[in-house]
Amino acid sequence: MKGGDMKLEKVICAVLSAVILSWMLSGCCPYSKKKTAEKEIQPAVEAVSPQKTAIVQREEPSVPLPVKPDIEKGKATPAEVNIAVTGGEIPVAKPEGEVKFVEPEEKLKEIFQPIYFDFDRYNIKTSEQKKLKILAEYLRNNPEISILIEGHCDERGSDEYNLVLGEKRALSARSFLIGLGIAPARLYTISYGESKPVDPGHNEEAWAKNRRAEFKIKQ
Amino acid sequence: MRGKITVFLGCFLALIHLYGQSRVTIEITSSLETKTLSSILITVEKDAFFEKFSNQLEKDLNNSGWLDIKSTAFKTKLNINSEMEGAFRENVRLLIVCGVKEKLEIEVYETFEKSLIFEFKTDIEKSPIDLAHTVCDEIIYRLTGKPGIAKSKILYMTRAKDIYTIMMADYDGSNATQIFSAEYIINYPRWFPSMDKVLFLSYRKTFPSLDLLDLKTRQIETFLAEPGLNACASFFRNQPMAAVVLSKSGNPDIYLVDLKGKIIRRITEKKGINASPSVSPDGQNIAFISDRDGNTRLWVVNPSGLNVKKVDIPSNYITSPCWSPDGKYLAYAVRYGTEMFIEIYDWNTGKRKLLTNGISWSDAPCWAPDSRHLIFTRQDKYQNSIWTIDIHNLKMKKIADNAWSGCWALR
Repeated sequence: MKGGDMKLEKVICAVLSAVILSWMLSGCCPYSKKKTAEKEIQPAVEAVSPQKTAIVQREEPSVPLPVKPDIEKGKATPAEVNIAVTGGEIPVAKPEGEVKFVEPEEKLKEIFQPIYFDFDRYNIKTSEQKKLKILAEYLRNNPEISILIEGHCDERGSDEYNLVLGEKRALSARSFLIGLGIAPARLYTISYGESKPVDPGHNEEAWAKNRRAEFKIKQ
Repeated sequence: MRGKITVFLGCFLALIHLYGQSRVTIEITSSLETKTLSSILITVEKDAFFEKFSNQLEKDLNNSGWLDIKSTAFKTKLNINSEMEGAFRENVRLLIVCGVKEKLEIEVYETFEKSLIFEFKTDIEKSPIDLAHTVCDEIIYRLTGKPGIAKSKILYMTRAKDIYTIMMADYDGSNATQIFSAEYIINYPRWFPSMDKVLFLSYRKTFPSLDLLDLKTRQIETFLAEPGLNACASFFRNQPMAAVVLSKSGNPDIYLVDLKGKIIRRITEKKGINASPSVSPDGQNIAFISDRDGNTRLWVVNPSGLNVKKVDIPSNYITSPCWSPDGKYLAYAVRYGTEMFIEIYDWNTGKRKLLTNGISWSDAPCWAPDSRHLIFTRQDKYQNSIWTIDIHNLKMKKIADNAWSGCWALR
């Protein structure tokens, strides 16, 4: 009889905990509403000349959603996909210990095609999205494979800024792949800026080839 | 009673003398803002050491941009009054005399009012070159109130085949020495605030981190190796911290870190690129580059992430901001048409001044301690070299070929 009561108590506790947890996660928490409201009323940033009064704006730190990569299946969680497609931030991964990334084998070259960018841009062009969809399908079918996305720039523009632009290009490709369901933990990024051109030429044709993201496979 | 009067008169005359000296110095200092002062350098000693010293001092004073040495001379016997008279007739304003007793004694005279405006003594160093640098910086400091550049060092990158090397040289490019080489990519050397270490971007452990090279022990240690990109460090002068770019969140943003590489806080949170921070000398503002409005532009934020302002410059591509040590100017690389220029922006007035022409492509300006000179990367026919430029007279001087990413030590 005592054992039966204990079980009943445990069941009630579990049900209550589940209800409270789901209520909080479903966004009914007044705190989360308040946060959203605060963000919505942020004033816009205005260009100012040095002696004009600036509009004060605080760059409100966003609360990053907890990311729990589903490494076993190699798939992004629905939350991660949602963040990726809405342009949110998903923390980048760094491999543990010494790792090596290699060029894809010849037979995989069709799948691991570089994608190209416009000058000083990092958005994934419609023409390049198809390549990423093919790559995403391969990664979905091979969940044990992790890749390195290398971001590169052409020689024009500022050297140090190009390093950051290369990183942003790699992150854009990563975000697109996460949006297609690939777990972020399988996607590493690196920028080489303008230091590794694929074409050493100094013309538009060469520059177009050098503004790219390449893909390597983790060994 | 007579003694008291004598003391009083003595003090009175001394005060008048000091007033005269300071008035002339102030007048000279203010005139230096607009024009270079012609000067004569006289050394009262002639041997191999002082000949080298005198030659180097002449170069240093000319390179300072503030003075124009019309002539140098060695004179064992000196009549200051007649020298000043002669200089005055040639319209030369300053007479710099270097005499030697137990120490090197420097006297600087103003020839129009025929007064000694300052004098100082310094130990005779072993190297005539170093001695000249010391004397030059002291003269410049006393005349302008700004630090000289003769003793300052510069860092820059060079590459031969696949070997990347960080070089260190004197301010004029002489005495260039390799301080670190690697077969992996290294780049963007920066002086650590203690000046005994150099911070640089390194791919030593595959992913780009910020490494520190100890100049005494030549040991390398990791300063910052967060997941993603670790780059673009700019140190505060008045606090033990730096602004850096990290992409750990999934977006390149600006963070503050302490001098052990521990993150203090994130200060930008906008989607898109936030890069190339440069901290103002008072630590109140951080200039940075962002494409948050759709174009690559110059913005300023304070270290708390407050007061984000766009700097009003009519170009859609501005990069590499660098705040002058006196806080007066922001230097940056800017594209007008298809060319990249170095330009400065007066923070108080909003006036801009283009420093380089569009014949060559220019990038990565970095200020000298005098807030008058900049070092920058220039590309001619796709070959990089580093140059210095005087922002007042626009005189340029090549420092090194096959070189880029120059960084001037601020002391």
